[in-house]
Amino acid sequence: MNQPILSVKDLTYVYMKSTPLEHQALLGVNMEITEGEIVAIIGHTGCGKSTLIQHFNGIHFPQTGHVMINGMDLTKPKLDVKSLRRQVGLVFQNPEDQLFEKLVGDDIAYGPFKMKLPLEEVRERVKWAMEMVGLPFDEMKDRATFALSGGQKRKVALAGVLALRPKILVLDEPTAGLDPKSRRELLEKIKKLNQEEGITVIFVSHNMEEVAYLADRIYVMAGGKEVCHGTPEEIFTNPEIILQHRIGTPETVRTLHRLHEEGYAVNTGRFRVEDASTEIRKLLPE
Amino acid sequence: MANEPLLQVEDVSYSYKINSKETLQVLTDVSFSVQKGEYVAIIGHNGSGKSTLSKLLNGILVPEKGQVRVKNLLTSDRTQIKEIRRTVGMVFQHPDNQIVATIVEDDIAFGLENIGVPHDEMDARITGALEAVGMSEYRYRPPHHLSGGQKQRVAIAGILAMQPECLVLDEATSMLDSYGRDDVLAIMRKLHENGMTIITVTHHMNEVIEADRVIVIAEGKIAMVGSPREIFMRQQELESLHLDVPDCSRIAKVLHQEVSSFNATAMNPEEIVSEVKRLTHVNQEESKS
Repeated sequence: MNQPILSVKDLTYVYMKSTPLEHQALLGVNMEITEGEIVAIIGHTGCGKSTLIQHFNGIHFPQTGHVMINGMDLTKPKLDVKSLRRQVGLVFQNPEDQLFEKLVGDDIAYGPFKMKLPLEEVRERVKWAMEMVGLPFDEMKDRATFALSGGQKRKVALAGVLALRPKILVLDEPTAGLDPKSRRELLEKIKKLNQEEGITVIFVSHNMEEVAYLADRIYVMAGGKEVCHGTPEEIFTNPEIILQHRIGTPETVRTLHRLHEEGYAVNTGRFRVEDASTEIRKLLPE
Repeated sequence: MANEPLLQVEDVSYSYKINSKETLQVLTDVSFSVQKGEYVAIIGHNGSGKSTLSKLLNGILVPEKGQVRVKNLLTSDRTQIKEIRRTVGMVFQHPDNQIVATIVEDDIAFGLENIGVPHDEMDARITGALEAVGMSEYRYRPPHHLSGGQKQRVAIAGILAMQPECLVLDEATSMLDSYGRDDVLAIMRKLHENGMTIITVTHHMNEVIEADRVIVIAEGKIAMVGSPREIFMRQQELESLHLDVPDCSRIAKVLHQEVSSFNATAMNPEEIVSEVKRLTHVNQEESKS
């Protein structure tokens, strides 16, 4: 049997505990993620998704419950946080705000450099990371970071995390704020990282088109708990879950559900544009 | 004049200094005007200059060349800046940059104090603004513990409380979930119905549908202007500008190619459904007769 690479058991988290402003963000989350999966975590704003993923590389530690990542128990006081952070690369929302070096190559090299790797390996890693996100090494390494477009900056930030060679990549709203073309490119790169390098990807997103494109599995969170999980098809074809937990759906799914409500026989799980078009085409006269 | 535009952008150019030698030209000779009560969407790829443009609309930036008028006030006239900002309110992409206080209520009061709203009027304005964005129950909460979407709604409330005539939203929904976004879009729609002028800068093509008029910016210039329907028919041009059309427009186009009577300009789920109904209904009638 496959051991999960990441498991969360009965995890709770309270902000500003024992103060009048105490706020319980997580109320017992359970989750199991297998190596090589792409998992989306979705849910209404304030459901605790960001708090949850901040546990995955040791920004928060479990107050009660357990988080196990690749054999490391995050509740253990003697946890090697450095090693954890090398295994789990966390890319924050708007990571481009965190670029601080003048040159692209230097910014990406910062992590591996701090790991005290030999210079040759730092260079190799930077080169690899840049190619993985679609930034040509020779052309881009000496570019000034501030003169990049938003999409390029985000790729640099992602490359900076990849250069640590994480086994698990955790992304918070990876494409928010990007224009449609940069968004598509970045999603393709993430998919490639998963398929070619076997990196497990966990991402939080509000963009259901993105979830439909990337995710093998979806966890739905509400009120500080995970309330259900399944493949995109399972989740998007279930109007009850969608309504009850106020999950957004891709526009294609919304259209198919509307047709279904009107009494047309369509498969609401066909959420890719081509598939949805084919589904609707079947309804139309010759 | 009765038809005096609320906003006039005339031959505006703007560039940023990279260092002592180089400058980065962001906008070149951009001109357009916005009428009172209009709903305008500005779209463009990352780095197209649309954010810079939005910052020129209430004098955060002042044009290098050309001018921006709010009603009859020039944004370059710094003595009028308060009046300009009272007329045109801005909501930014990152609410964290816009929230200053430690309690939601205080954050909204901050803007009101700045423009000299009397204390006894403040309470009603705060209540109204929080209601408009559905955040009443968070009135006494610290904003930094709210989620991104909730913070954005607080930021919008802060602007609404100042009762501007025009609201400029610079990718204000890009951090929200689809329900949060729908809420904000509904707020915008309602404000628009009540006569508020709305200018929204966005990457989300399905938000553009709500607008009366779309301005497409590319390489610092206006590349296209038209109704959302007109703009979305030009899919290839949009794609060449790193933009996109809503999925429903794509579906409509595919279906139109196969069934020529299917309206190729349908752009949202409702319009697709009504086209399917129209065509299948006609078909049923035919088979009956």
